[in-house]
Amino acid sequence: MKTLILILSIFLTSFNFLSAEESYDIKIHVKGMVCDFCARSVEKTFSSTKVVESVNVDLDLGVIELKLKEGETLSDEKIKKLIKANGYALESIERNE
Amino acid sequence: MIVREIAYLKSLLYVTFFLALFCLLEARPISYPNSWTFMQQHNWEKTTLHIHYSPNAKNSIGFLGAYYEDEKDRLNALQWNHLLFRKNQKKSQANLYSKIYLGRLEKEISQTNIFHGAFNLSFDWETRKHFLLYAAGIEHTDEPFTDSNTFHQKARIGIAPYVAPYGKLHTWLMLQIEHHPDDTDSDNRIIITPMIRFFKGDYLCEIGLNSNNQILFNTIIRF
Repeated sequence: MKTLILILSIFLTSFNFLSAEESYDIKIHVKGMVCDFCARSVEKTFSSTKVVESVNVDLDLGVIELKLKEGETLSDEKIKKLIKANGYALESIERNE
Repeated sequence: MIVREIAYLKSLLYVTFFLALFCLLEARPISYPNSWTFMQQHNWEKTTLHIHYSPNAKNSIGFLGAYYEDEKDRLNALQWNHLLFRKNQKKSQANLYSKIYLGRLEKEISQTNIFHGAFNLSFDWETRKHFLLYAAGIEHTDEPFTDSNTFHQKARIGIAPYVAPYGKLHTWLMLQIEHHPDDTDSDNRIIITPMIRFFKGDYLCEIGLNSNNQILFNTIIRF
């Protein structure tokens, strides 16, 4: 029984880990995003972008995660432009490819 | 005239009540690009309503209406807020704003309609746990028999008792100190106001009680 629980725990942990890794296409590190309102403006901007399916914000880490629509892309240049237009600074971009 | 004044006050109170219903200022005077903001303030001196549009992250322009409690004067003005400087860091943000308004002041006592304008500078620094603000301004009123220029300044310090995740209710404990050296009432020259700020999503609400036992109540809605 203990072995079964252990195997199940490892399986679920792995599953969660994989899910988290695959839940976004682009991870954007932003400078100056220190309050809810700051993040809200960035979230609204990306949500209104046609190629973005969903936006997830982590204020603690200063990170915005984007899930793109099937087959769509979003260039680094465009991301930088959108972040700057909202008054914040881009730190780095990670892509989950 | 009294009927008009009551109607004006009523309309301001209705708007205040409307905003309070959604409850949820000295927060950022500029919103995100292509958005609107309703700001309502009530303090020892006046009740104001500021509705503005932000075409971009550096500017906002809109209407400012105010009712001065003691004098029973009414102001209708156009206000322009501008972000002069911003420093974005990983864990903090600092801003310097200018605010200018120009308008007409309906003086109750003299039954006149005169020019009134102001220029303010406001600096703030914020992390997820700490908040600092300093603001100073000068107001000009076209009054022939009194000092037409007045200076005022204020500082605010805030601390978040807990750090809420994105989208949850944020709470701030704040202390505001105002200095009005030109005020004719000595009780109003230094005013200290402890307050609490609630902030969730696009709604912000501040409630405080100052050193003269007068209520402060501010709300903001952005959309």
